[in-house]
Amino acid sequence: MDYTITPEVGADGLHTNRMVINMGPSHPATHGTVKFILTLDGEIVDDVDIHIGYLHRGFEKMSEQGTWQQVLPYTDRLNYVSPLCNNVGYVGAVEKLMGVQITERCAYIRVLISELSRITDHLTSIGAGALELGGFTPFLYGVEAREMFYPVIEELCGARLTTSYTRVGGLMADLPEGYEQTVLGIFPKVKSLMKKVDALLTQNRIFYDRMIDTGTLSQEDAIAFGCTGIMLRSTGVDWDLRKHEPYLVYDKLDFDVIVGHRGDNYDRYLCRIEEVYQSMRIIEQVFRDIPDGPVNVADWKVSYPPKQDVYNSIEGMIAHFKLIMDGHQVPPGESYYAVEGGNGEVGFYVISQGNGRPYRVHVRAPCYYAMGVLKQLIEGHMLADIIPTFDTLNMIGGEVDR
Amino acid sequence: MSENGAASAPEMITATIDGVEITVEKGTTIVRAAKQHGIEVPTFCYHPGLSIPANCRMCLVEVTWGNGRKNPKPLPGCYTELGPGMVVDTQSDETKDAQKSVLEFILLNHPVDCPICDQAGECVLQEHYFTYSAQPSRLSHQKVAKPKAVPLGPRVVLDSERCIVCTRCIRVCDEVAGRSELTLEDRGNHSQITTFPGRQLENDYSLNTVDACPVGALTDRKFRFRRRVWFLSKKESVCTGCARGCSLRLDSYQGKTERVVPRYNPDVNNWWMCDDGRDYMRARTIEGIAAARDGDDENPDVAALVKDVAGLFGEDEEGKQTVAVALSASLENEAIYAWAKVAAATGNRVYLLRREGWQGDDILKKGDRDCNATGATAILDAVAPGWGDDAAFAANAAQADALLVVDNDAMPSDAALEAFSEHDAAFVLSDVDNGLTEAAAVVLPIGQLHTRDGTIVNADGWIQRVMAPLPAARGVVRPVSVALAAAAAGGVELSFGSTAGAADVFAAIAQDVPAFANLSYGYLADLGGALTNGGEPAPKRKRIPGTKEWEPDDVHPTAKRPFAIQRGTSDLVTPASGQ
Amino acid sequence: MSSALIQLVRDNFPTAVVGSHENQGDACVLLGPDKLVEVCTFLRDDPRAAFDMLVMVTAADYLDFPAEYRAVASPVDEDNAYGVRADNMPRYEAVYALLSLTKRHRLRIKVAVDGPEPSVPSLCDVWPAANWGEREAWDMVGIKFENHPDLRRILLYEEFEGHPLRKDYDLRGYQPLIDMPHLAEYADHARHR
Repeated sequence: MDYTITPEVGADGLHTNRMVINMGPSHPATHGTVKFILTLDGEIVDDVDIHIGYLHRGFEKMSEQGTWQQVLPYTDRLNYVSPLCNNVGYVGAVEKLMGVQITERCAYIRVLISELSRITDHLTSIGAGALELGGFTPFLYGVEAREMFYPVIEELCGARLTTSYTRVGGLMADLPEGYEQTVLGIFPKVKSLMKKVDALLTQNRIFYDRMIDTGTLSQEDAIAFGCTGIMLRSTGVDWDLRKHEPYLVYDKLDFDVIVGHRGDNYDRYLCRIEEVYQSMRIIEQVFRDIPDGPVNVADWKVSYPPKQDVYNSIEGMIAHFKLIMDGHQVPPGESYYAVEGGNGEVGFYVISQGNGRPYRVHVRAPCYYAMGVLKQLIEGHMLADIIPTFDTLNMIGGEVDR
Repeated sequence: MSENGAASAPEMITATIDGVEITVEKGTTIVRAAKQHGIEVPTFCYHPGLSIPANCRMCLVEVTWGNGRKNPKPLPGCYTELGPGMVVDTQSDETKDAQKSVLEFILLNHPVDCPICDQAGECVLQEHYFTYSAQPSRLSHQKVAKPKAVPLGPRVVLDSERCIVCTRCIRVCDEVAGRSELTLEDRGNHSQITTFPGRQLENDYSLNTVDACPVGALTDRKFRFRRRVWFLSKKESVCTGCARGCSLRLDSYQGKTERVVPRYNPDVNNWWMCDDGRDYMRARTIEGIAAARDGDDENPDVAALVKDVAGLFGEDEEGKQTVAVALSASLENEAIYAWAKVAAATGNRVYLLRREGWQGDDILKKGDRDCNATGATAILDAVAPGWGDDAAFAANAAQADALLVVDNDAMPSDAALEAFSEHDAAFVLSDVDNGLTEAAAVVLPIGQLHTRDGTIVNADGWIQRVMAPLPAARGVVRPVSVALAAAAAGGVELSFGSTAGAADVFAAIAQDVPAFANLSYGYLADLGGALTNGGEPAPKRKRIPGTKEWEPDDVHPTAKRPFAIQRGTSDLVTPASGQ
Repeated sequence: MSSALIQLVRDNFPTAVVGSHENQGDACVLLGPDKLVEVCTFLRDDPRAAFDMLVMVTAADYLDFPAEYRAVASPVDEDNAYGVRADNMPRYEAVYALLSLTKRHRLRIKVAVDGPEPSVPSLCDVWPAANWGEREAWDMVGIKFENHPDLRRILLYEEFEGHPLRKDYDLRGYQPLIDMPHLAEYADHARHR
């Protein structure tokens, strides 16, 4: 290839060559491994070719190699800032295909963990977004707030990120003692940190100028490109799976769907901030309303028997053995189950061949389709606008690339 | 079954199972009829090859008689014959309750042994419990303790706690092996399997009790604790220990055979296999293959050695050499055919080396230890007439310019071995190191028969495929490939080329040898088939719809069977009259 | 109502429908490839359907699928216009999930195709979301989407050979650009089966 560049000079004496530069996959201002091959006309992006796949780990192929339950740890690593949402989504798809009805307490807890994950997701997006625009302080506040949630999640399931908390038919374990105090106890501090972030960013001239009217997405485009979640709601479309296709016990809970109207980065930022408060509101209601009872379905063909039964009775031992070795016997068929994740509709499309091993598992990743519209949001705009647009899109590599 | 044989058709009756009306032969039991229509009724003690004791009660089903009256108690499906108009419901509450209760009783005293039990992963008790019950335990007592590792004999160990007293092992011993060595002692939940006083479980079919045992009570001492069954690579194959050629399944781990279990084949061995055959097959591994050797050179180039062997059949400055080609009668038909063609076309005589026989019995073991003598003789008669035997080889070896032996554990006579070792140009294509490889001038490793696909014919003219259950070792050559090289060197036309698989060679055999006419690999897959001797092959057996199993036509040993099983030959048991 | 949606498709495109089901409450219809764009345009524009969003595009390879269960998720009408028979189903299926934000209903569309180079018309002109969705289905399963403006690999690199989510993709194989010749030695690792 001939790399010599012959300068073309315009009427005003300035060079008019397009410059092709490569941004990524490793770049300090893009959180996530993505390569943009930009053709620049000065500061304006003429053309962008978006290359993803740097974090492709073969999730879907690996899901076919083990049992249904063995897919669960892979789901943690999809959207790894909201792993519990992925856990809930995946087992929901399998339970839908098996025809299993989870207990009410389990449903409430799944709502609780989904909202906890949603908060960590939004805090990451807000914080990292601020960081990449130059605001280190709000980043640290955001991360400090997020850091308050991780020990809470760790107390629940033993891990901050690789949670694997749900099981087909229930959960790994019930909530720990005093969990309500643990969770609600961090809220005042989190709210005060959110206030500080808000104070530093929302009316910040620099932040405002960089975010207002950049990355503007129209309603028609959002819908046509399959965007869901914040990308869609910031454009003014009132659509949230929790409200409009309620699953678990969301229909019994009281919360608002945050809808923007401009579809730009600033609206997405504001939507995220507000959604954090809404999530906290949902969590408070969950603790108020959660019933007592078992978290796992009583049927040993679906839920693992309690360890006491596994070690002390042959029945428990056999049930445990068969569930682990052969896997859940899911009747043949297909199902699609979607939850509202941090970035939008996280869907799991599973095909069962009638035994304990999945035949096909596909993840409908919300930011995959959001990345599809990114090209439009970047082209024709300034190079510097890529950063806030990419931030508020909150592309999580694990989810896009799987 | 009608009394006067083929003349009249069997009487058929119509009944209903699970709402589906079916028509079966009179005398078919509920379990068999259901199985024929893809419905599974769970059983423990029932085995299609043994007498029916109906003692486990797992097959209890709700039955309404043809006259409309429901039977007050559920009936055992393994023993109850379908009657005209009978309505059987295997999904009713009564049946399900019966199944759950039976499982609960069986599991009451069952030890929590799954993590250390060999049967885990292929345990019928685990499968039935999980499918038909999955109920928690209601036991609040201690379980009955029984002896845990009782050696019943030199090959089999009994764990009495795991035993569910289905008595399959006793019936295997009595009815298959024909020796009364096992019995049941005590009663209630203290029942245990034991040997008669002064006796051990030491007959040659003792390991069939291990296969028949639905739980991990009986285990093979040589396999116990060796490997979890889900790590095993399970491949279907054939035994090459004697001329019976029992169908089997070879379970190996990383190329090493861990155990061998018989595979159902109604035309050869039904469900059983002898212990000696299992030992013979266990020794077939990919380790310990013959090392290539060229005179004193311990690391020769195998490709060059192939050329040397091929060169024996070509013309050199001194003209053509005479080569005495000796083939083991236990090689697969494909290898025998290829070499016989090459030898015959180059004017060389073929000799067939036989193995020393052993004591056969009239159950399964044949006295002839060559697994393919029938096939070898059929091929040689057709392709290389005038072939000689072991003695002829010993007599004529010295006259040939070179000797070539293609070996598969041939066990040549002392005279033949001596003649072989005295010759200067003695080449052997061998699988393992033995007397022949020691005596040979050049050794070319060809690997185990079970690392290749090929066919063998048993003494009754039944041909089966070996189906390569073990992976090929490194540094070996296929005997057919060497034959092809020899053919090229000697200018022999063969109808298959160097990229030919075993199926292509077999197609050539089907053309050339009348005994194999109209057979093909596709037809022979799974159960094999009979030699056609020029005619058309018989229709293949059908699978039971909805399952992977073959329609059994042999329900009970006293029904028709292709080989004789002695019953009650022991002096301790008086055969019941009329049976 | 799911059955109303399926009826809508059947009424308006009777020859395009190969089969349909409503298992687990999801409406799913199997279509033939030739009328796919027409049906989808109708589903997007007709006010009774109003499927403004294409939510998911994926594909599956049914090579190892037990034939007796294929009809559960891919039922075939006896008299379908494509001559597709339940005992001889095409190997691949392209799957599309549609959502209507206004009517709040969903529909799944599946197109069964076969052949060494299976292909399906692209839906990029109907919903731009199909652009990236179809690229992934091409990359992973190898279904070609006709008239796709930019059908290239998306999750994998260009030099990659083969389509990994096909069932006959050799897991022990190695790829150009990856210098690991010893991979073949890990061949006999027994897998749970």
